[in-house]
Amino acid sequence: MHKDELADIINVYLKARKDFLELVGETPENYRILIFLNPDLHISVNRVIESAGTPQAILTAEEVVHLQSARNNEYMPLGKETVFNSIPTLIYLSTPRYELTEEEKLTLRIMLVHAFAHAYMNEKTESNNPRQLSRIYQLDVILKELFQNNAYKINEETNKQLMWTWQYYQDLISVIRLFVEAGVQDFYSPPEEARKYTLFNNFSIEVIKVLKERAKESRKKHLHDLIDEGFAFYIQRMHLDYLNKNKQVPKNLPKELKPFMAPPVGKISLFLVDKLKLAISEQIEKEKKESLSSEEIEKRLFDKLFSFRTDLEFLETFDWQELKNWVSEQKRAHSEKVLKDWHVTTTNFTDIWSVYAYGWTQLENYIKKIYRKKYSTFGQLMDDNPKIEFKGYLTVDEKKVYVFEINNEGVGLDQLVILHNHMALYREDFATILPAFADIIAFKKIRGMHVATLFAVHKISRKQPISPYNLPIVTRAVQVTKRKDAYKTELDEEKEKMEVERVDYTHLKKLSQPQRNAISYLIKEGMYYV
Amino acid sequence: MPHRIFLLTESEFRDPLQNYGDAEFILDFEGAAELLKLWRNPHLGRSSREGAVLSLGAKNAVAIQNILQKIMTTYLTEAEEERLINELKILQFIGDRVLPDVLERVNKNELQTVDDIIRYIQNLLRELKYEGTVDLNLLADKLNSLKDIVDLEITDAYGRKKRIKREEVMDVLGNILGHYLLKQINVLPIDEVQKRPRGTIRLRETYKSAVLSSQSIPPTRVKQEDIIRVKKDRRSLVYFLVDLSQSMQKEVFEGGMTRLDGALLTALSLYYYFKTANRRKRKRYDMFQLAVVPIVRNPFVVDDDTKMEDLLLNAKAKGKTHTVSSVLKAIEHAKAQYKHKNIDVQLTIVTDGMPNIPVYPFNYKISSSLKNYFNSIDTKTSPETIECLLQLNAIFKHLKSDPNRNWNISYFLMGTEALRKKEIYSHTYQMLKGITKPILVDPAQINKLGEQVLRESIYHA
Repeated sequence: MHKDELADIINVYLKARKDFLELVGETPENYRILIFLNPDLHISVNRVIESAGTPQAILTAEEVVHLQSARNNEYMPLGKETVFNSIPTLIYLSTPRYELTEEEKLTLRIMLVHAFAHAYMNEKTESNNPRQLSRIYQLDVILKELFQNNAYKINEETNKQLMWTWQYYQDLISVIRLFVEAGVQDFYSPPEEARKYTLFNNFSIEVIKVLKERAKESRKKHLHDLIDEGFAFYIQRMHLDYLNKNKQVPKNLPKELKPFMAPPVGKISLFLVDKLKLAISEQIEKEKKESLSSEEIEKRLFDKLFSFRTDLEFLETFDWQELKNWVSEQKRAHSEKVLKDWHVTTTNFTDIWSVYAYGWTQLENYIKKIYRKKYSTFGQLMDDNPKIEFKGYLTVDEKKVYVFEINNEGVGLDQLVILHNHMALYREDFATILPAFADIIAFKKIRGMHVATLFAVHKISRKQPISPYNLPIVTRAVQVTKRKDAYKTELDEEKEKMEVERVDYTHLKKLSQPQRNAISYLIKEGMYYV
Repeated sequence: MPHRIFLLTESEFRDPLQNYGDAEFILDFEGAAELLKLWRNPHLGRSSREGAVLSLGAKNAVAIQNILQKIMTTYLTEAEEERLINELKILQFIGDRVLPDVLERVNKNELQTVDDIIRYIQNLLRELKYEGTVDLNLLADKLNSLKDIVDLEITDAYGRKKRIKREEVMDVLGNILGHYLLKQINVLPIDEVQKRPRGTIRLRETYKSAVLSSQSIPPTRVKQEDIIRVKKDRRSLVYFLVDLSQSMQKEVFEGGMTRLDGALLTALSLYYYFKTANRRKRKRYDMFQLAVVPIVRNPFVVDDDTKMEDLLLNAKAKGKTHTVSSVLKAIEHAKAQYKHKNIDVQLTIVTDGMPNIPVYPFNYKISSSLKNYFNSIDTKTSPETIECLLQLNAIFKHLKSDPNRNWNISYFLMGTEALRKKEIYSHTYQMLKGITKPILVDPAQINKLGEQVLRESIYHA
């Protein structure tokens, strides 16, 4: 029934498969393609993968709100092909409509071949990357099901009395995922026998178990992005040459191909693959004293690429000094070309270039870290610059206040409340379903703001809180600043002296002076003056 | 591998950016009191302002990340590219320079009102004018989002948060509380009447007369002449007199809500109750009208939105209890404003003590029996209070005997059940003898006050 409507798309698909067969000699078989006619949905999937790892991952309510607002303001990237490198490879594309113009057909064809390359790599590679990704995907699907079923069930059972469950479970899963992944493992989970008492207990035992498993799997995942991209861009270039030979490409490439041609990652990874190819052919010449056909060299190159398990092995085939020079060379070459090809001439050079320079800096850091520190798994990369760090604690009237540093922009105040409730720090004195009442201070960087936030449990009233958001806590936030006159509190000296005695800072780890100032201000303002 | 095609609809593949947390916002009475307190005092709510700055910062950062990606990976037209580059610069400027500054000012309590924010924005723009780095118009536009930080944060019964603008507070509160009351009590008992094109039928009366005319239960038939229709609806005017004396400052229960807050919110909820009730009845005139009269030294009548807002914002619990003059003020207002006979007047008094400021000269006839009662007992009550009670009694008696109009009086005493044994209750009881009975309201049940006022005064009057 839909065959006629989809005729254009199917034709292009079959052509792309044929192209790939001719280029590589084989086609990938294990992949799924989802083509969106609503680009908004595609953008959302793309963003979710970018920020949470898999298309099924659950984001915090605040992240969702911010992304929605970015979407409303038309800040989101469009038309990007999204490939999730699992087995089977998941490919997300969007087309404007069923009937395609010649240019749109060509665009789709090139995009499909690029995606096939990813799928082919995932089938052949010896790295654990695709397997780990599909494992993570599975776990995310399980989490989503758990979340939806439980929130639905609780709402049904209580006659919609607990409307907060939807948002709470969403926040719970995404925040704990982030923290577990960053190595903060110690969350309160109810004892095993508590399962039978409430649905919530059962849910949180299950969820924390799955999240820990997910963190373990994602930490084991090999770093494999450069190889993936390099291979895909190599095939894509072969494809363009092939189309050119058959005179099927117009002089100017379709503008929708910008996401493949412009970003720096394609540039550098393709360049490195080329260098590898050169090295292979040189080596062959040296050994056999005869030249092989280019097809055979290509075959050896592919085999070599498949045999690399991590980006580290790939990069280590080169000398560090060489690598460093190449990256800066490519960066320079890229700067001139990209602006001419993909941007309008009227905008200021430095404005546009600073955006690409940002992309290059990220890449440079990635390469440098892997090469110099010999990182091969995702977990090692995470540990290098941990998203969450424990900084010790201080005591106020013998009550502990724990200090954390968080390097993630997606965790908001509401979400920190969840963290606050689930840190297994006060396990012995819990009274509600959400047992862990600890006071915490969290440092967080949001662009130019370096913020310290205090969450302290205020008076616990006799009334049972009816929702986890409904706890009597004090939240205060201050800008951590170097200025000396920033936070002069209006305490008189005598009082201050007394209070300083009641606060013990000796168990804090290394912190900067402004951070210490912020802490003492928060303690004074937050604990005594609310 | 066989190639299969499936078509998915959006219900099968849900938008990953859906918001699971979307749900009805439920504000309870305590939450409303909290909001009222924040609204009345701009010094409070600093932590919510700080939270708002953080939230703006996070939103800003997400937007910047996305724009960077978009410039690199999306083909843009000239106009679009320029727009994005401009917005990027401005968002970066806001994130790196403005927001840190704003957070510091919020900490120092320098930004509390919309005026503060506007002044801050203007100063910033003036400074930048000489630097000339960014598009000032666009920046001014974007900086307007800073006004969000003085919005009030409300927490619903489940602890979920929502921000509302300062100028909308009364409407939000009133609507929520008014609707809540409306759900509890409808103005007309719906089950007793049936709307028909020829008029509204009173079912019970019709049934009664049918029983009488056919001499059997159940009646064999309902004849045309049995049908009893509702007479032309009478209009009612309600005066809600709220005590604003010193004692109303007492906290209702641990946690801060005062009797005053409770009384003000009740006044607001009743005010909106009638507003919504009137809106539902498509009549030329309003069936009910509510005016609030605060019991203060110089009493005034609050009968429109601006006066109401003013009262809510500025009411303070202080001084003595000037009940007599307030009652007189209400009567004067009723007589001057509504000359039509068909309008019933309902005086509802909510107080937590006895009046203690009598009015002179006093022209009503003071009851001798009540005077005798006070003379016969041994009491610690001050002579002023006794004088006041006598005066109130005289006024109410006079109103009750007014042949031109129906006056109804209900008197609510705030206090626990233990108050029944105290002098205050027995005196008030004596004072209202033959007029009405005092109704005790437990302050801890202040959230039920509106409902109680409606049930016991207007509905059953």
